[in-house]
Amino acid sequence: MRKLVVAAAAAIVVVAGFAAAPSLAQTFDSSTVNDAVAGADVIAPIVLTKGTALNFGQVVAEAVATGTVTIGTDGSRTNTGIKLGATMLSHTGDFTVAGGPSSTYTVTVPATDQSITCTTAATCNTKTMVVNAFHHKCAQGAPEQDAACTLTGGGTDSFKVGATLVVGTLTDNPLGNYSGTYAVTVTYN
Amino acid sequence: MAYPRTRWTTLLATAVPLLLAGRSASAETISLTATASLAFGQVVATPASGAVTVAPNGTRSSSGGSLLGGSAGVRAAGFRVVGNADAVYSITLPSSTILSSGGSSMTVDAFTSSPSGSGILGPSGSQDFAVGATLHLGSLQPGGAYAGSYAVTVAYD
Repeated sequence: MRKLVVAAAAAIVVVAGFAAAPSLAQTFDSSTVNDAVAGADVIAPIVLTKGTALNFGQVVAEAVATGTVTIGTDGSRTNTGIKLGATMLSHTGDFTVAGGPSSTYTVTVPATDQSITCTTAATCNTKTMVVNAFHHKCAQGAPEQDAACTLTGGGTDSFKVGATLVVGTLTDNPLGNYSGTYAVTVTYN
Repeated sequence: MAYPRTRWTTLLATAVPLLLAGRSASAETISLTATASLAFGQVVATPASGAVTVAPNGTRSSSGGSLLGGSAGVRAAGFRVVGNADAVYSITLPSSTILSSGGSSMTVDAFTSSPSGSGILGPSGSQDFAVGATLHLGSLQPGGAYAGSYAVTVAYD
């Protein structure tokens, strides 16, 4: 009978030990995360401001020859077919951008031929020249024509626009000042 | 006396596993962990009020006067449920919460999840689900990094 009591006691201890395990782990039939995080960054609209205008400087129109003058985004001026005159106000088209810190944005320049018109009525009347091959380069290290330009941590950037001027013969493009406008757009990516 | 002694011992030895088996079968344990924050990314304040929605699949869209800014970091919230294999559980989302920055605030509502309403834990006893919601911007909502929190609950039905 003594043996029986010992065996029963041992068995009870074992039962109690196992029964305690689930109660330590506890039983949960639901679980809640109370501090799930949500966030958003509100930024100002992107703003584009024009600076110095795109200018091809002085170009020499000739009686027979036609040619082109190209302004690079680095401000370089190169020519084909015709001679360059004085540099004068030769310049890239400069723009500044303001918007959300570190936002990326896309610059869109004209993809089609634009035209500039003679504004010196006495000499060239309403003659026009084509400007095409617009391209741009952003200040923040973006490659030429890169769609994804990036604003600084302070929310600013700038870019330069270059293009090619197609010059006709002296008959088509008599001496004078020619000017026109083109559209540039920036959008957040 | 030897006969009854043996019988008692056998009975107790049988009772222990039965008791344990009963315990483990009735233990309903479920745990929920947040694995990713809900992020609306950059949104642009305009004169018109509007809304930006991030769907559970992470896509972002806007309506009204709201414009989308940079999409870096945009994502749906992620949660992981761990519990009993093959168990069905319900997902309870908040009706709304507030994001704030300084003295400004915005409401987030229309919480949705995928799977929606309830999910089922696989053979491994776990499942991930995603949560999206809609952010409401006021007219010329002040700029800033807005943050807030909300509660999500899972439960066995």
